[in-house]
Amino acid sequence: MRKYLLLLRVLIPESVRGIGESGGLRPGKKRKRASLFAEKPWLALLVSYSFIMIYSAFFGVALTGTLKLSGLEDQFVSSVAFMIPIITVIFGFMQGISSLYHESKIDFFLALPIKTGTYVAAKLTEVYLYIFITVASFFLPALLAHAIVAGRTVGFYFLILPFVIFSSIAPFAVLLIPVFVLMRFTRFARNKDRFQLISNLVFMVVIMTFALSMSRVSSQMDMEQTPGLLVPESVYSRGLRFLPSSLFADLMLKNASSWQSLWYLLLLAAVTMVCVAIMLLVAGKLYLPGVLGNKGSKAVRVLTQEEFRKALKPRSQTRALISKEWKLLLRSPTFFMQTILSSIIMPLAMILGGFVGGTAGGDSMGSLFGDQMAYLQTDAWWRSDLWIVVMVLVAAGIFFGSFNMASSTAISRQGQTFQTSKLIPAAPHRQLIAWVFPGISVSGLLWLLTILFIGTFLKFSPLLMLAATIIGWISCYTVQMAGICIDMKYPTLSWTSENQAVKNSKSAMIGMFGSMGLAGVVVALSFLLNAVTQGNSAITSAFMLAFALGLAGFFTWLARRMAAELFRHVEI
Amino acid sequence: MISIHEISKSYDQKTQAVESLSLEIYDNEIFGFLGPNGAGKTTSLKMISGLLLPDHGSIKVNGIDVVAEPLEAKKNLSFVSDDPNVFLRLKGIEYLRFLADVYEVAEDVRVEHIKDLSHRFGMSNVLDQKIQSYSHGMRQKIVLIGALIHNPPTWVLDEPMTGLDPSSSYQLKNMMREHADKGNTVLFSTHVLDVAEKVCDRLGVIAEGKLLFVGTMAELREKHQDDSSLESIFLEMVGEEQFSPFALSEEEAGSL
Repeated sequence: MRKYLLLLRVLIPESVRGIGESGGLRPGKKRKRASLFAEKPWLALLVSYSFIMIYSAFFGVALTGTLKLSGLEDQFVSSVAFMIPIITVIFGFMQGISSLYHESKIDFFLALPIKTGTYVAAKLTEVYLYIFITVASFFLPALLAHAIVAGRTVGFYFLILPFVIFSSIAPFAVLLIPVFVLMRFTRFARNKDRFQLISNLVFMVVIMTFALSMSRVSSQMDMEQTPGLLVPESVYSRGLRFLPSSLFADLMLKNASSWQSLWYLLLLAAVTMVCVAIMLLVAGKLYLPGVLGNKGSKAVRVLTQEEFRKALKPRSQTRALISKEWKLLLRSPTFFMQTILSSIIMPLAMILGGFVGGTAGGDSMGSLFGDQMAYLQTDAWWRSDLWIVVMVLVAAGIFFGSFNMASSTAISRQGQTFQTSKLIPAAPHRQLIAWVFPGISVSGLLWLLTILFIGTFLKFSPLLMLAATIIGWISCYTVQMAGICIDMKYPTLSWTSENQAVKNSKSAMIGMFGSMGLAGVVVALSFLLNAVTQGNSAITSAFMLAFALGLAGFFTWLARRMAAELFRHVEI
Repeated sequence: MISIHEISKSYDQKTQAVESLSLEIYDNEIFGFLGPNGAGKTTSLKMISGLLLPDHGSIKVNGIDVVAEPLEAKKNLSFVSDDPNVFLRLKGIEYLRFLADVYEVAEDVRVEHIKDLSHRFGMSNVLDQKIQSYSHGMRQKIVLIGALIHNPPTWVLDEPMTGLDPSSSYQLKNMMREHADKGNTVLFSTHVLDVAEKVCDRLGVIAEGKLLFVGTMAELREKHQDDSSLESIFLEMVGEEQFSPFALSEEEAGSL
């Protein structure tokens, strides 16, 4: 037991730090004073999960309020009891494999004079901690809010925590059994990078679905409609029959005001203990052989003469540099998630959010945008509101581009390999093209798709479509060039985890929020100009276009200049 | 040929890493840089390869000024760092292709060189794997192969034997000899005195940023007037510097 606790003292802070880790949160070697987040990793964790908790509380208040009107507030508890195992299975599967099989620290711990069972138990506790934090973030605030709004008894409040803990432990334990079998006897999830990437994608989809559900509920509440539950009543009422732990948890909480709840609590604890005991038995047999099997290298594939020659086919310097940038960006789950994927997800989430919220009352998109569509199909806007169209396009291009941090982290992502950039005989401007190419191409493509989607939907004229595409591209390009300038000014080259290079680094933050600020400046400037020119739309539009082009030109000039200086002033 | 004239380098304007170092390393020569940890070896090699700018002084590689004409100088040398963790997510073959493209090596030449070098270092079978799956020694080898693809006249190698298996280490020593014998220059740093003794035509001993000795092994023995091993002579020379009371800061000296 002593060694189990000793192990937990090391594993849990590491785990908490890992979950809440953002670039720059860990105290770096050169930093004189550790940041607040580095000193208090739980605070970083709280911040990371705070938005889910806020949504959760809001959801609890909104849904309970409506259900209470029909006297159906118990449905809320059943719905949560059904959702907890689902969230546990999704996150438990991802985090379980990642933490139990992919961590490099395993070798170190296995070499210590600690019984295997103790180590396995400590590792499982560490993984469960993550699951508990996730499940609790999703549902604890909702349950508390529900208890307040529904006017539940004191017993309900006391039983909320056991409800969340027990209804997540049992499915977690059951889930791990096939995980141990998979990892012992198959080649599943051997590619750490690929698994991490898929896990992160699933995580994002779950979060987005959750946020969109909340958005829909809130819109329905505003329209005084009965909001839908997280899952349809028929699904969870049938599903709970197959989930004994959730069934007992549900009954326990529903009967919180009577002594019956204690019987359900005992049944719940018994089911959980049986599940955990079986899981520990399987873990004892399969975990270590699975971990050791995971370390084995895959079969060596030797290149044939033809493949060898083909793999070495010459390319130009620029093509070689761009290809290297793409490969390193796409093959690192962290880099891909934080740069490319975030630039896709954020606009998508906004569009979907608008769509879900807008159609929550049963309206079609056509009826919602009918006036705008009719207006855009006339030529009235050409005469009077051209400046607004130009302003919106310039600002929207900058705003959407600000989520793409591919360029504002291009130097930092190199870390110590920046040495190679300094060593190779490739001119700085040539390397600059490679550094900004992924960011510019992804932003440009996304903008094009967005305009095509919106333009087709709102029936833009071909001329407006073309103008929107070109103006947006100029803005996207400007953001990427500004981003690389910031990263050249504040590169983060000494990092130990890839997260530190792309997440919350100085350049990424300045790049993102600076661009958002720039979008605001564009809007303010447009209104100012319109006022100064006494509402002359043509002059305002022309000036705004010139401003956008000027910005693009300025940042191109600055980036070239800084790239030439970069190799001189950054020493590595 | 490498010409170093009065170069100095300090970090944070406090730590003097290299002080007024002057050195000529000739063609047909293998020059070994010896010194304890933190002596200034890596800083010197990085300045020669253009990774660090000297505060004072000048460096020429084959007559090309490293600071004034960095691109031309880079084409004339290859630098192998003591940290072999390069682009870990690229496959070995992709890394080599990247370097061959950047150094504009002709197709037949690159194919021939890579085939030869990977065979010599026993890497032919793993070129299709990602570098992150390589061991430390294999990473060192892929970096070495990458540095030598374009066959530059000057090699600058920072502790190149670290992590290499005996066979690869032997191959590298032979390659260094072959390269120097063809009229080229090889400069490398090492902690292994045995290697320095057997491989180097001349060696330089550096401690606390100052060059204490430059010459052949015979000259070194002559200077110290004994037949003891390089290890004894080295320890005697470096020890004097390291444990000199002048090496202590005022604060440290005050606390004694």
